[in-house]
Amino acid sequence: MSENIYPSVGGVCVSLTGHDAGMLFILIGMRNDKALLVNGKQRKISNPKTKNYKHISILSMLPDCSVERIKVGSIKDNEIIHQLKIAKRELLK
Amino acid sequence: MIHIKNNEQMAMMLKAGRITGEAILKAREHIKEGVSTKEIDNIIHDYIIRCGATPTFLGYGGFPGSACISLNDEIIHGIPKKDRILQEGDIVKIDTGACYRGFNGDSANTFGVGKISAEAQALIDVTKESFFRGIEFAKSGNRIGDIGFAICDYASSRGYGVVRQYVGHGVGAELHEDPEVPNFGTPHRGQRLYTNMTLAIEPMINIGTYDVKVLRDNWTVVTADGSLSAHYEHSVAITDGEPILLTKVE
Repeated sequence: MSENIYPSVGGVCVSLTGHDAGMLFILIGMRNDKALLVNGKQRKISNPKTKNYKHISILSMLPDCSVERIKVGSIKDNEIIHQLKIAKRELLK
Repeated sequence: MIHIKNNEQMAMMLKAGRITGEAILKAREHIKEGVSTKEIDNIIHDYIIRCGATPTFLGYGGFPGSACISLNDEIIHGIPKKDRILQEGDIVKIDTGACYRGFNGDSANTFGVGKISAEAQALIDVTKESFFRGIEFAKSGNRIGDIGFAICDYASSRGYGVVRQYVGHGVGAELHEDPEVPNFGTPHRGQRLYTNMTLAIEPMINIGTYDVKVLRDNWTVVTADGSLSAHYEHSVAITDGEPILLTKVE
């Protein structure tokens, strides 16, 4: 049984390298071995940041309903911002 | 963490590997038109239990079968179903594992149902050959990248897509252990190989693009472009010389 090396869609992740190191994003997909990252502000759904998946670390997962919305492409930037706020609060606990 | 097996553990790995290989051979005898993938799964399950082992895949991460049985454009992790019936011309991938006294075997092979197309047969042949090209480099002192490069170089040069998202892995007391064994890589890069490391090397080759997608059952991985895919896997023990294919039975 093969192992999946790509991080899971819907993961809240932290960038490990580059000028955005330390910033939180949500992974909305993979394209050509690159992770597609959004934060709803500088990086919106319409213009996701691409980053080597080895240069991010998944910290937690969004709720199943949000993950489902990402998969079907119906998630909006304001939900991304809201979910990142919740994730930050959880991580700082 | 990478586990180097001692001789006693290697003996268990050999036994687990033999049971796994035999279970696939057993299933192969029953591959024909009209058989459901659930029936094949039952044959594998019963054989593994009769041998005094346990099916590793059953319940692994919630997987509902003892074998992953994937048809045509399904690459891996196909769920066995009563209503999934084999048809003439299908290619079927059987991937299973057995756990014997705490150690696991993991193996997969691709078979044709009845008469298959020339392009399907060529895909199966290239996938199998790419595995053997890869294990030429599976010896102590080499690196993981040497194996992946050999596999990818052979398959890509013939115009096939080598799946990148899913990779081989270490195997032993756990089904998935370190290190990851990608089917692509750079020569002389990656983890160094040591004697008595055990790896599951498993090229997954598509006729079209290497891109994949996961179906809504959250298990079945299919080719993104709907092209055919083949899978060939053995658990391999690294030695100073030729590797030992733990799951290969004649």
